[in-house]
Amino acid sequence: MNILLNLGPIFRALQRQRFSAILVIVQIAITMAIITNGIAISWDRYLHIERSSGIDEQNTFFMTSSGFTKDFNPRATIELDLAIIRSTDGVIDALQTNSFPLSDSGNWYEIQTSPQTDAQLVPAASYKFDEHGINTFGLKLIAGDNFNQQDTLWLNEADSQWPSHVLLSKATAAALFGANQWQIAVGKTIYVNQNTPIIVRGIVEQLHAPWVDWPHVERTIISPARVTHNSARYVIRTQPGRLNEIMQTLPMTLAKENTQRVIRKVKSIQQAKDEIYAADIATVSILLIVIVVLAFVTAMGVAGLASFNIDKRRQQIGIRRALGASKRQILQHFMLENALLCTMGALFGTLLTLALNIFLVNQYALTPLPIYYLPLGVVILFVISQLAVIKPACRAMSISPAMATRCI
Amino acid sequence: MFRYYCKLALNSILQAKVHSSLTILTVALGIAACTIVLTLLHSMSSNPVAHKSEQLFRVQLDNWDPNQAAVSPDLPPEFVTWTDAQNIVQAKQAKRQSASAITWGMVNPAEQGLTPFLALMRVTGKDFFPMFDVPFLFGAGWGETTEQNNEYVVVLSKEINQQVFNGANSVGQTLSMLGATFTVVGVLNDWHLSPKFYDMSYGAFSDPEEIYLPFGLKAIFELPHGGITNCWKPVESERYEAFLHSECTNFQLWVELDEPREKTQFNDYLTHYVEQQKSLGRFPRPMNNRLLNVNQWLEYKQVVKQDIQIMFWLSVMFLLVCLINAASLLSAKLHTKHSEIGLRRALGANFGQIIMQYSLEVIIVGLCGGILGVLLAVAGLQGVASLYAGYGQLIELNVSITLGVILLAVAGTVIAGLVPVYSACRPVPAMQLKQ
Repeated sequence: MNILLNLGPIFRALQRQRFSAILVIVQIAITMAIITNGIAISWDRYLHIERSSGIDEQNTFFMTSSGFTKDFNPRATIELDLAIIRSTDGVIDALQTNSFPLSDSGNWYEIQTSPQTDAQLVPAASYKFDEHGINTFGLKLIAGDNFNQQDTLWLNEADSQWPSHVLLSKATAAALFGANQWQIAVGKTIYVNQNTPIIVRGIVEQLHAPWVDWPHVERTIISPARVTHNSARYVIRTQPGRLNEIMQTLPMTLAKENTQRVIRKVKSIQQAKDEIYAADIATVSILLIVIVVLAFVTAMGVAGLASFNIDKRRQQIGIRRALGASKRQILQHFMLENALLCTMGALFGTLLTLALNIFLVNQYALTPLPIYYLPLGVVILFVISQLAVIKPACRAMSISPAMATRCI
Repeated sequence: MFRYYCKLALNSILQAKVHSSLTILTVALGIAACTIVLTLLHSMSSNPVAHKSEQLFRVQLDNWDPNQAAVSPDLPPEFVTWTDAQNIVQAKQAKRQSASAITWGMVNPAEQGLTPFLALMRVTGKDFFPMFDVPFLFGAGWGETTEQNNEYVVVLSKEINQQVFNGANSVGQTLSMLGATFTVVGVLNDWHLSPKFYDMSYGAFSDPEEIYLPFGLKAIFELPHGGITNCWKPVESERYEAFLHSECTNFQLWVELDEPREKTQFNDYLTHYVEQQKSLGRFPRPMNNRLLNVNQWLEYKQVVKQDIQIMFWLSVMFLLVCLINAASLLSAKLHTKHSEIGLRRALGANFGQIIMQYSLEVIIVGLCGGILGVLLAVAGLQGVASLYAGYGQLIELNVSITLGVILLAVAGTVIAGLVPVYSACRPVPAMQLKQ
């Protein structure tokens, strides 16, 4: 009650210096709009970067082997390479594939549940690797079975033949057979290229397409095939903690074993991820720096203003102290004054936050701000400005009542 | 008198050191944020062939699926097929025309005693070099007859020439690659357009290819299809030629047209060409040819990342907060100077002189803030450049942006500071002297 009674005089005191009060309110409002929208955008982006691609990103690396001589034998090289890699100490498993998540290159096909031309087409990224895929990528098989060794189909570069069985990601099965009926896909026949029938052997929980910004990134189809090519891409999963060491030694071992090719593009999945998301990581970092610096600037502004106000009112404070106001009441006065400014700033700031968000959503198709970000923004601004005012308010608190006796 | 005012202003600034440095820092942070974002925006939206952007046109034809547009809602594909690329380039209806595509292959410089390596290559036409003002260090591009006879010639980038020939003039030398022997006809000077508008399939800021060879050699060596390949119907057979004769698009087609009249004529030619192809059973969709100049093409491809545009708005608001902050700090300071102002007025200074004196103080603060801001921006840009390292593009401070932002800072600080100066100077001297 006591506190509320103080509001009247504080409000009237603020009215006497309208210009600086308005400046602080506007500053708090704009700060809130930037900080709230900035946090929302960076959080959104952070979730986008940190989402799982379905594979063991920490312990996996990849490399390319490119043959260059006329009598280079791609198939024999791949078979020998894989045998060497898989028997290397510290390697969990390895495979040869056309593509992999976060690689940013690959191809996709449209799949349908019946060969009719009017059937719904489901785009899915195509992976071609053998039965070692589940173990190498660390995929979770949630229905049906894995391939076995006899399923592997050797294709040459331009060969468009499809094997008889495939695995689907759960999202692909859900897109084909309905969100709640993905389990029924196992054993069903689906069609690629309109009329090539294939049977679904199993379903994996998650495996991303190669392109992170593809709208259907969750949809993939895996066929047990190996494309022989002068270039082959190997994906290798190591035991935890041995990635760097094996990434160094293995390419040298392979290069020595066959000199008709070069080993290149040796990179970990984590490096590939950092490169793919470079722009997003940059955005998040820049926004976070902006938020922190802005909080600092606004806090300095609030503190600076409060301390000048206090200097100006040293006599009045002294008089109040002399008339019996306790130190706590003086502190309260300035904290309350600040809270009042902050409340007005937050009211105005809420409107500004929404306006900025509507502008950004319309202009750049961002996701609209979830409503709970508004109270979050208000709380952040309150904390910043109350913290900023503590030091000057403490200084006010310690003004001696004797101040009242000067210059009367 | 002016020097006296300067001295007074400096005195006043130095008297309240903490306050002044806080104000200067505030202005500086706002300036730095704006400069950094504007520089990013500038380097990403810059047009690397500004002098030719009205003359170079991207050709798009709609050979797509009758039931579905290549790019929704009803836009043609971004690339053209091998067939159309060959036909249109050979028809020579524009001043210059070139079709090109990314590919790769093994280079085996055994003669030079080097280990084989895989190089990114571009198959392209002879017009490519003059069209895009490609600078040559040695030699030149290839000629018409070379191209028609499918002679094995190459143009090397400066880096590859350094790597293979130690940077010497390699024109006339041979280089074995793709299992054959090629003759070097030219070596490029440093050439890295950013954005790489003529082919953005590996990203708008990707590195240029290392080796250039005549377009027709793609079919002869059956070179792989780099870049982006889109098909709307399955390729009929597994043979390499089947792909070349398919409706798959992979080739970047550009033409140079100087006059608006030439553009109209070329458009008519394209219409005529598509009609002719329609009579052969191709192009099932309605006529939908597009000729975009470089600026239109960059805009269509949204080269400037949306994030940077969002950051631009945020940085403008950030600067606004900083200026408001500076204004409120200045106004608070001037409030404590009422008696000083009263005294000076009473001693005969007029209103204008007082305004002048305090404006000088504000201008000095603004200038210091601007200069410190630029220093902060230089440091900040280093950090930002490392964040965007994957783009391989140059982010450099632009002089006009820097000067513009400093000017803006001073103007903003003066405007923000003048209101409190004005209100501080207005009161009657007698009232203030009394205090």
